[in-house]
Amino acid sequence: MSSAIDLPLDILWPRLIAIADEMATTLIRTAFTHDVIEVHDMSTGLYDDRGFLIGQTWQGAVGHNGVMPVFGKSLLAAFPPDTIRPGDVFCCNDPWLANGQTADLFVTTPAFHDGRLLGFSVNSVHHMDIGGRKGSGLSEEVYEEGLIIPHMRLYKAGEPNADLFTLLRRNVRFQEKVIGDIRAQIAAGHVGCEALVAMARDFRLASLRPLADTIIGRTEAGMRAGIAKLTDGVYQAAMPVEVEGIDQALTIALTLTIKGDQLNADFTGTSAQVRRPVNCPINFTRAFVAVPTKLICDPTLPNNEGTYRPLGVTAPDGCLVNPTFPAACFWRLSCGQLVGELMFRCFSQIVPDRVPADSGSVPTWQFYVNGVGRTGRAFALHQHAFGGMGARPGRDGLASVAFPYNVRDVSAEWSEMETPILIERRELITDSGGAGRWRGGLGEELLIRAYTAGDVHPDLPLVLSGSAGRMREPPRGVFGGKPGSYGGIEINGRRLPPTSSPEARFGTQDQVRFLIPGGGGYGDPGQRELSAIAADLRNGYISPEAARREYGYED
Amino acid sequence: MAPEAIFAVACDIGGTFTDLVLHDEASATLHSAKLLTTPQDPSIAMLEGLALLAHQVPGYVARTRRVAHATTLIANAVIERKGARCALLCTAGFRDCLEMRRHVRVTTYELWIDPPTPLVPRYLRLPVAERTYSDGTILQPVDPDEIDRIAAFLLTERVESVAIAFLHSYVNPANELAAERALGRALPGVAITTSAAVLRQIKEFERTSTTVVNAYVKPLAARYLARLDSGLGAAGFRPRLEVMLSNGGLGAAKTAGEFPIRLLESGPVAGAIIARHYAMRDGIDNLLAFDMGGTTAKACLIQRGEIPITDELEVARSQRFTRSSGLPVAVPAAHLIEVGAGGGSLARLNALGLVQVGPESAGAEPGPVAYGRGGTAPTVTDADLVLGYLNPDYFAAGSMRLDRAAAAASIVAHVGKPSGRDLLGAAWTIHDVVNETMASAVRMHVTERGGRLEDAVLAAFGGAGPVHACNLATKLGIRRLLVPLRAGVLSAVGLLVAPPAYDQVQTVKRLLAGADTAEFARIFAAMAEEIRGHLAAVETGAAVTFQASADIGYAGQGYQIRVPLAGMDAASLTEARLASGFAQHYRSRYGYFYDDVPVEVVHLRLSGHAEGPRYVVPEAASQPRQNRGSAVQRQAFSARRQALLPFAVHQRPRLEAGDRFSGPAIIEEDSCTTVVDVGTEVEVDRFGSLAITIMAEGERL
Repeated sequence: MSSAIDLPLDILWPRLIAIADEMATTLIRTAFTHDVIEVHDMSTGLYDDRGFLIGQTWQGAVGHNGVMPVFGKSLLAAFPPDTIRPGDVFCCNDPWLANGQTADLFVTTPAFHDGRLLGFSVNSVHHMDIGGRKGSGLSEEVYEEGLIIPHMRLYKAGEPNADLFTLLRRNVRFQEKVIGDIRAQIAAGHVGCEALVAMARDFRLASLRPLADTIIGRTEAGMRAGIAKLTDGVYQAAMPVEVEGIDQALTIALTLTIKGDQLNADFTGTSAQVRRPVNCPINFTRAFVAVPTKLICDPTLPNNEGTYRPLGVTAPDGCLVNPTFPAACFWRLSCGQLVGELMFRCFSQIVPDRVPADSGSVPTWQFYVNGVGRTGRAFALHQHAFGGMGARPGRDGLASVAFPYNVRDVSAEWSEMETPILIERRELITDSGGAGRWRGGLGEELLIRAYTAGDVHPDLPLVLSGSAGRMREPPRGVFGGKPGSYGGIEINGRRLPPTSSPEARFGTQDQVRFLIPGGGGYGDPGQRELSAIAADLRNGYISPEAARREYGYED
Repeated sequence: MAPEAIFAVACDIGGTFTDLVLHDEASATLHSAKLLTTPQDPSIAMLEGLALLAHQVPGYVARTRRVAHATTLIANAVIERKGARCALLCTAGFRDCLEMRRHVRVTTYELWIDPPTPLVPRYLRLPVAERTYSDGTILQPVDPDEIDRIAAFLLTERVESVAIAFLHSYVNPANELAAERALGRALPGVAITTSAAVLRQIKEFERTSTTVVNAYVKPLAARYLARLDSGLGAAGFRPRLEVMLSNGGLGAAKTAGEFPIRLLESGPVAGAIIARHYAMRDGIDNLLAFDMGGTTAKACLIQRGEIPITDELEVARSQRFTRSSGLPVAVPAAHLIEVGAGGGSLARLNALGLVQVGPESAGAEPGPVAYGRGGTAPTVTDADLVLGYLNPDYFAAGSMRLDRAAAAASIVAHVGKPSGRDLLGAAWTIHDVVNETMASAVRMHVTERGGRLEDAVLAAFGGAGPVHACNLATKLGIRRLLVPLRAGVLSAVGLLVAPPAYDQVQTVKRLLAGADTAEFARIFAAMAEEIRGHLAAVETGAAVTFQASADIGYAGQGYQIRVPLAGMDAASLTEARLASGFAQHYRSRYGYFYDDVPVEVVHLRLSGHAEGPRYVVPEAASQPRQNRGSAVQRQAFSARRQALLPFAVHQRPRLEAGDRFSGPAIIEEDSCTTVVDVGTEVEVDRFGSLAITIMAEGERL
């Protein structure tokens, strides 16, 4: 019986992930905003006492997930173990320490067992507001993007840091919701610590380190085994980024080096940071190096410190994917997710049979419509919209889907209950998926306007801002597949200039139309099965003209 | 004069077996029959079973006053995509909500796992130029001419069933009703389901999906119920058929035909019903029902006699046991967690070198290695056999001999050798891992639903439940267990104890401060009328008991807690009473409450059940407490000692109320085996259940 009982890894490892899942559920059930409850723009995890991530929920958004490993180390640098007391709770939203934008707040709670620091629970949430210019697409410095909280104590030895709460309340819109979400984060942190301590007690663990080292070691070995199967070499990919108001051409360039079981992503050649909120701090860049790598190398491995050890990420200081303070970065999603696309393009050179074409869902279009009601009360619509996934070898791309990001929309009915914005259409766009032997997933069209009979001020403008992309260069097809459709935003039929961080004002009589791109096709359209073309035609995924033009198909 | 009707008969049609029980109310005796299910037409086995019972109890048919029925037919039809050719009429601009599925992928890090394809293809999802706003204002009425054009198309497409789901119809169904009228005129004979009839609840994807699933199974359910009804009539039964609904209540066949999605959990819920019955008989406030069968384990926490109800049911998941991979069905259903952890679950080493058990299962064929029917991969049953918990010569009432040597060899080969463990270590790990999987799922259930495990009683059911219950309870910190007599086959009895019940929901979504609560009372009254109608179809004239509740949350929160209400009249629905109810329940659930945040009422819910005599588990004459020894012993693995120990073996049929003994012990009966470790005390209670207390190390009773 000896070997089996020493460290029952078969039990403890799943337990850590289950604890993180319990935290996520607590967060979702007690939070105050859609961003958590409906959208799931959050994550949860557990650290050992060194700040090594050892467990994480499967429900988290990939950006949050990918930042947690590096965050643990900066937490301990800010708060050495001998300064940490039971009842402390820490928080931080500094884009360079946390998730690359001010809206994402990380809350960590230390767990003590037998008077010793055992580890931490950690959770992160995208907050509805953090002050500043309401997610403006035009901000030039991070100072405009709300309150920046470096590593600070939210609670000190069980007592709330009242000064910080007062400061927060005074700086944010919708303060009761923001504070409500922070309270949910504190509750989730508490749940995680309790469960962690119970586990240590039940299994008589004086320290998590031996367990952590085993988990991290096996995960790292799994990732390395996956990387080692890729052919050694140096692979390159680059793509343009369009930003309104920035005249010079902008590029993100990736050089991916596979050497044995090590992967290095280098972004030399990427354009310098810009005075617009699309700059992506390196924590978020690293997360989107990791996502495609996991997808391609071993999707079943749990996410922890070990996932990131084989991944080297380097980028010149002051570039779009490693901007220096105080770069604006609220919509870092726009550049950050393109990093994921460049990773796919490099992998496509190595294992073409496992990688989709470009996706119109990269980047996710996330936007706010800020407005004012008749009595002067502010309202904010916050929605995500999604393009089509690139075609996969052997299968069409999924239509209008959160890929590789994994959040969800807010129902149109719920949205119309909450804000006086009418959602007039949310539908797939015919012919938006790139033609190919396997077709790219369709993008979506979203049509909104003010509900003028509702609580919307007739004279004040509504302000749209958000992340977007692929307006100048559509998602590419591969191996003969055709590109997906372009992205675009129109106000009353007038197209806005291409940009990754749109900001536009519109009146209560105006109609705003979002065209979220479709995915690229995979393989020669001439090889597409006739039955698949006929079904596409019948279902209106393609038009008769496109069937003729792209596939030479006559009904 | 007709003889007095004193019989009630129940039939539970499962995936493998059809179980029947006949209750003779005059003599308080139960008779039972078991047949293989006839999947091509499940009514065949049912009618055969009813005939078999007539051999045991001649003449019962004419004297039967109730026929109750549970079936997995509806769920299977969706899983196997055997439903009707369906179309969907939807608000123009939203025809793809069914396909977009709120844009969620099934799993974050996998490229190839896709959500299920919609039950209605895009060319049969037909946009209608109409619109209702969130306050119920009709922005654009339905044009009957457009519906006529659509009807002509549906006719050429030979559509058998139509779903109508328009935006905001839960506030104002006028447009849906107008479309239904026009379509009904144009297409007589085609089944129509409107979303407002199925579910008056906000969120278009979930409501549309629910409506479409209903439309998909409606013709099939109607055919099945009609066939069964005529079969019963021909066999001489007079009462109308009652069907178990997902909410744990019985409904009329008419209700089931109209809303067949309410039958999706018809089979699984019967187990929870019998668990609740024992909880109420034993006065247990907090009971964890745990049912472990061949391929899955199910559990739910029953607090104060209430089965938890969810509106987040999913059917036909593309990844079994994975959320967001199925078709949402948001009508009220018992909230049973289900994990792929049963006796037949397969054990293997995963990519990380960890022992993983399930969700893949060896099923009934080939089954565990020990069955000797060709299974080669080790299962939980094989591990339980090696650990000494199961008796190779007395399994399933001795109907099957288990091959311990083959089970052991398979465990060593597939788990022991690759993970560096000896046979016992490997078998224990399999047993422990499957328990851990169930424990995690239970903890998550409690996190979601609220409640406490520390003072819960774990009631074990199913063939494998009582084998694992003691070690699972220890993991969860639960100290008391209950194993009812015949725990392996109690589901069908659940049909005899369940009352006719129905529930309804209405989204109201408005701030509580200043809300028109008189309108709430009117809404409740209308729902009550509807529920009375459904219940009268089961039992005419029966008294109906209602329970009203409101889903209340912080404004804009999107998540609410269910607050039970004292009544549904205007007096019970004042702003102050709703507010204090919310505060009280929120605090008891989360330990805190914020009085600085506005509160909103999102849904009103009403459930009603008919009162009337039901089957109750009989009480046995209790002996004075006596210590019961056993001469027979068997070596089995003690979780607490991590070693083989001699376990006393008791035969369940020979135990009597009042008997007691200490663990370690194994209690064998035809349908299951109960295992209790060192440090437990067992008592046979007055209902014949094993009442087990698990003591802390060193503690004595």
